[in-house]
Amino acid sequence: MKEMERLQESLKKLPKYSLKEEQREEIIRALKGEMKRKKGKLLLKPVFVFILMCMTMFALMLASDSNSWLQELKLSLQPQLALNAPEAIIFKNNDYNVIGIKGKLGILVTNEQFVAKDTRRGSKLMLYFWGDASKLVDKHYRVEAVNRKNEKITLSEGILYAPLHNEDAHTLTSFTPFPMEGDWQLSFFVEDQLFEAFTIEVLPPFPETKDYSLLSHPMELAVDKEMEIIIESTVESEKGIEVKLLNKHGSVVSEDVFVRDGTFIANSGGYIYHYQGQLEFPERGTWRLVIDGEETKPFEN
Amino acid sequence: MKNDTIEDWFQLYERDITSFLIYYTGSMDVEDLVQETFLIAMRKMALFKGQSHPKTWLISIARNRVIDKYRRRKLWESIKHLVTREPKLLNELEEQTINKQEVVQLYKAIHQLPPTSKEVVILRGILELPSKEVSEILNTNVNHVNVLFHRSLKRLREILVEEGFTNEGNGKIARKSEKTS
Repeated sequence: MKEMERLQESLKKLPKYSLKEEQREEIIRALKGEMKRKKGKLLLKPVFVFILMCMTMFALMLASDSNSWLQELKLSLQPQLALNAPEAIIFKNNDYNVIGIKGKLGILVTNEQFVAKDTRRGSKLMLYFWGDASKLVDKHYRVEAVNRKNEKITLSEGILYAPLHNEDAHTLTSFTPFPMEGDWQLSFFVEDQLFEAFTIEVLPPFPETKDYSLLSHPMELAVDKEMEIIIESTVESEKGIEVKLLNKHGSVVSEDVFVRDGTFIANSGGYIYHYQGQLEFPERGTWRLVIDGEETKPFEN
Repeated sequence: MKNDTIEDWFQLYERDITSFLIYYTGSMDVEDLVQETFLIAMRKMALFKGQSHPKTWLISIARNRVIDKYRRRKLWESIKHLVTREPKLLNELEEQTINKQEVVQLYKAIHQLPPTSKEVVILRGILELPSKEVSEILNTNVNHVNVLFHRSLKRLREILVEEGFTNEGNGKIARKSEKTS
């Protein structure tokens, strides 16, 4: 047993070795070189990961339809679609203004322009068709719309009826609201055959706050003079509502107390109140309205 | 932080790694292996969980590196006669640097041990690592290390006796004939 212990002692006493100083320095240099290389890699790595994340997010955002501004961004990145149909014109049918293509198709409108996301101007529309009555009356029609960003919606569909005036067929309908402003091409199909097409310009949505919405569109109002404006709301106010027009610097350029002008029953069963007042847009530009303390998003006139 | 550690570890454990490699490979030319060990450790630093002692971990890397090279060399040995007529003897102990006879004898005896015994003698006997750390390096349990070390010492002594050497009381190894003369 003692011999074993002695042997262990011999083993312990065996020399331990270290590299020569220059060899050690050489290895330390190599380690430092590797460290630098690694640090460089480490610096690049987060940048690379960040770019990759951005690209992934971007791809996901483009694939998602949930967000409106993303939707707009997605659409803006898409190639612009050429709208080939002619622009609609305004003409008379039985002393009423209609827009469309004379002798082929017309839409009886109170206001000449549609407004994005607005249900009011697209409700109770009279469509007039001119052509071979036997191929129109009692036939199925469909109105489709497409914009330059290739966004497609069906505005209306139904049955055409016998004429009321000097057209050959007509129908009363309402249009699905246009989701966004800009140029839209309207295609009218009868029995799935294209009957006529024309383009119109749809105005941006009406300025609105939580409780109030303009009924007059700023783009249709003249500048540099007081214009009558109607505001619609479900809020009832006997003494009227204070309305201020702010420029892009936030300064009040025009103001008025709008008074209640009418009460209507909404489709939902509640009441809608109209308030009327006068405001003056000094020029074309970007503005905001403060209606009864509520502020709209910036809009253009 | 971890990159700083590797340089610290080099300062702290280079001697252990160099000693291990010299005894393990039987060559004094271990500079490259030492460098490779620390470079590998730097690259694998993320895998070091601190569950074992850094020295143990570094020796494991050095050992695996030698085993890898040995495997490749074995393959080379099997085909080198096809491409060269004068094969060089590899891995020779450079005896001139270990000039004390008893050290040389003990060293030679260690290299006559079976591989696992040689490892346990170097780690447990020469580098004086605790059994637990040796068990981690050899991927075995502590009991096995203790039993193996005991058997290896016994075998080492037998080899020394066979070679005509014996242990003196002071822990030195001397040739029997020299002792009696």
